[in-house]
Amino acid sequence: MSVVYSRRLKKELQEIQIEQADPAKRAAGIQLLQAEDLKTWYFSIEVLGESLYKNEVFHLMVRFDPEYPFKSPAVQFVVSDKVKPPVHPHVYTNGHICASILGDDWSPTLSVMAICITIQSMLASCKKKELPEGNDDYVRTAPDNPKKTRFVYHGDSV
Amino acid sequence: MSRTQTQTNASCVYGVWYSLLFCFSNNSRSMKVIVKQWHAIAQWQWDTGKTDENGDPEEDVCGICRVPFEGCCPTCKVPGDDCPLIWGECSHVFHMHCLLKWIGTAASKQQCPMDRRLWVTAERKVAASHS
Repeated sequence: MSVVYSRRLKKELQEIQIEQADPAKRAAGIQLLQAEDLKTWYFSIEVLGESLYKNEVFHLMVRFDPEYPFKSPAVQFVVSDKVKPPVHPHVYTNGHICASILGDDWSPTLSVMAICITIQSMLASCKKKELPEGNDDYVRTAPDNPKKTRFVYHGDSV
Repeated sequence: MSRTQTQTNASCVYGVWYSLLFCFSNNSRSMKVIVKQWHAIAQWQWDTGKTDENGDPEEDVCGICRVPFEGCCPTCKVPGDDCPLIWGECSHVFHMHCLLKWIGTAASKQQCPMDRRLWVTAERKVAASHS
């Protein structure tokens, strides 16, 4: 972490923790599970109300670049025995997510919560549960860190 | 200069401000200075041109570092002229150092972090009422 800007991340963490303690402020369906340091945080995400993902809970792993907020964090769904990634045209079965705000459209005025909310609404607006095109090929060759992938963004309609 | 002041005697304010900082930052070693009393005569604030519902200047934070404009960017130690604000033609405001650091990255594509329009630094027009 570029030491000076780590203060911003600490502030984000404090704000999230305050929000989580207050049901009126909390973003519904998004919960901080773990943030032991300023390197890796975990969230649980679910879409409340009617959606294709009703009653499904997903875990999101957020890894911060030392240059955060000038560089986007690496964000992916957790794949383990207990939690699976959502079946979604922008989510690969290894948990990698193709979303432009995590790459080309990142801005330092965005925040971790903004990312979580974007991903939640990406799930909420999904019309058909299907895997991304070329999922198997991608998963076979994908780097550990999704930030090393050059995604091609297809827009919200896909 | 694009700041508002509640009083015109700016140099006095700076005097108070800097000497207080000096005392606090040195008190761990040999300098034993205790501030017993201080008398504020004025305060300054960046004039971002934005006002709250009461018409008072809005207290706002830099969208990049999330530190109030009245504080300095994370790389500076003292607020004031050495850590100024920068305005874009798009009307967005940031700490100058934060914005330049962003514009200096390839990922920025030279765009304003708020609206992704090409960043063009604006000549700051100070509202007539503050002069």
